[in-house]
Amino acid sequence: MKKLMTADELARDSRFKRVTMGDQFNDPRNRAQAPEASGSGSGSGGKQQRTRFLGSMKPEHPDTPDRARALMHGIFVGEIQALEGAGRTCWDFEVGKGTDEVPFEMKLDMARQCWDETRHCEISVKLSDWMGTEIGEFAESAFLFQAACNPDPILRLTGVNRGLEGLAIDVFNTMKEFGDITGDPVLEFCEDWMLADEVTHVKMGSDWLRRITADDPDRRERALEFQRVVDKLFSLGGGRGEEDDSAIRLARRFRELAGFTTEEIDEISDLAKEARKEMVERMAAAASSS
Amino acid sequence: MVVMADPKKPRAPFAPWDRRELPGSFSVEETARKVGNYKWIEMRLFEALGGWVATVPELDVKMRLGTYCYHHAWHADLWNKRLPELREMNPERLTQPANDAIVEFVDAMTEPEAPEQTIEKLVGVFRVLIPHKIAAYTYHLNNTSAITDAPTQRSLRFALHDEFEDWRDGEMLIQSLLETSEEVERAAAHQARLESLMIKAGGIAGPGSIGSPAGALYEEASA
Amino acid sequence: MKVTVTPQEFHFVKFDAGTVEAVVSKLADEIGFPAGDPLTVDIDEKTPLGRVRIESLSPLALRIEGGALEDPTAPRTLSERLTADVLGRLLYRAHDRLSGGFDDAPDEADLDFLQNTAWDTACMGRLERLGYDVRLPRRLYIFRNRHGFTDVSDRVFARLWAADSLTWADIVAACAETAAAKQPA
Repeated sequence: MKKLMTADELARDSRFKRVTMGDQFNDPRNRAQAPEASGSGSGSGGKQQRTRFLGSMKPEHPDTPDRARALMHGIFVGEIQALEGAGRTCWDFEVGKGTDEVPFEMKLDMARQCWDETRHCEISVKLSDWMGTEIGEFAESAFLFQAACNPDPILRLTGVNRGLEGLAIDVFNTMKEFGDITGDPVLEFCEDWMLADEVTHVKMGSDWLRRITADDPDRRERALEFQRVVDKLFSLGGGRGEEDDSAIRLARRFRELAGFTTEEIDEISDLAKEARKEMVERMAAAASSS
Repeated sequence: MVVMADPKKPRAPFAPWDRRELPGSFSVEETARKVGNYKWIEMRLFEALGGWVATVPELDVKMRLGTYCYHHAWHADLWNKRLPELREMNPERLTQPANDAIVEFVDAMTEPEAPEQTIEKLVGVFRVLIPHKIAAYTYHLNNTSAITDAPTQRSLRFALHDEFEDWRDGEMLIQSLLETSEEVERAAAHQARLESLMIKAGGIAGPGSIGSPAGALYEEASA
Repeated sequence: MKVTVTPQEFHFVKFDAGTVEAVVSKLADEIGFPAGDPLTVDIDEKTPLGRVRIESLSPLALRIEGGALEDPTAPRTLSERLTADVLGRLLYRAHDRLSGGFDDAPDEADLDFLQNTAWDTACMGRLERLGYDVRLPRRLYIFRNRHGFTDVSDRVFARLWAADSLTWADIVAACAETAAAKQPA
């Protein structure tokens, strides 16, 4: 079996349909929606449109139950990719001290993450049954595994365990609150347990980053830069942030438990604002040129 | 007034139901060598199981592989922790394959990669490697000293619990995947190929992994 | 019914007006609308969002944001199943309003979430009995999300789903029943 496979090679059964980020970004309707998305509509109408476009998990929105279903299906396929990513990290790197090698204990942590992500897949399948969602009902984007493909194991761990698992903390916290508000005992229970594991995974990423790059500040900076790229990409064009209309709220408390400093969380918040601003500007520019 | 038994009354150091005996078949060095071999094979196994997750399209198999991966990583960790206790302060030194033939076995076992080869991947693990691990661990458990080598026995029992559970689970997955004669033949051919390689290796700890059936007779004849 | 879909040609999505017309015509016949009555379906193809509404009852006009008919696994592609699901529900609503049994019902925009989901449940149950794939588990989750995760809520759901005819008073009673069950004892 070869090392370092690509996202295109991920094995799936016939229920899963792949879309690319290009499909999503290049959707011509994005340009047509630019005025609404930028909230350039006047007063509360503009804010309402922005909320509709960016998505919201507030129960008072009419589409929220279906949004929750779509989001949880997205989580499910993300968990599959996280499982695959952790598994590939077990396989792709030999034990050693070289930059393309990893400590034995880090491999053990990746195997432990495999087990955890398996449970998350299992939980997500049961949750899908509960929410009336079919496997493959929504398209799959392979962006998580793409982040897990980095040939430098520390960049891979930083991008996945600190970037993407950090996003998972935000999502699970938002959905746990949603479950609590809507009185859904199963959703709240599931999110609570998955949230506990994600805090562990982020901590693994933080700990290994610190240990392995203790004497290699350049490599640490490259890893943190990769994490910033991942964090910005997965701010989902402003969908994740600290604004009122953010669909996914940044979970400060749980990120602190997972080892993020206040400065690091502030940076993620700033990246999210930047991502939102860039998206709106891009769409406004596209609308004015069409 | 409460009457208490005499706390100074002598008792046998081993309770009547504790029939453990002292002798064991392996020295400290021999045990460390075997444990190093066990760690090596558990590592190769968990790495392969983890690597296969992304290559397998069947959703139930994909998810189970994640759990199995952890089981064998944990076994590797148990053996890693045991080595310094057996006077091997550099566990990496003894984390070795028993011989070149077991390396050849592992290479052949991990060769199937395509999405259409789930049967081969599972057969290699659950119809060849894991049964041989169960055999080697059971032999070791039954032949090592229950008193001096209790820690190894404990780890062997923990590992064997997982091995039996995973063996059953994996065998059931294989049975659920085999739907045609052609698939049965594929499974059998791959199993036969790997079994031949395992025979060359002599087992996961090399020759003597499960003792020698002729050994006891030879000793009797020589006596 | 005489169904007209606009636009007839789509440029932002890969929809086919003829397919939508065929699905809607079949639904309108099955639900029981008079054969010659006009029905317009106006699709906003410039949005990926999915809000739908009854624009007017007489003549019957529906306004659809294109995302509502989109296949979630194939961007910008029409899903015939979802087209029947979404438009079937709206047509049942319209038919109910025209039946006389819903004269007391508020305008569409003034219905609250409980009323909307209760009425939708009754529509989707009837649509399922016409042979359409309407995914009951999804509808049950949406109902529970609004009416509560309680045994009472599930019983009310089952009753609404099974109902072949009902009135606005039935909807109001159902909402009151589930609301009472959500109150602390």
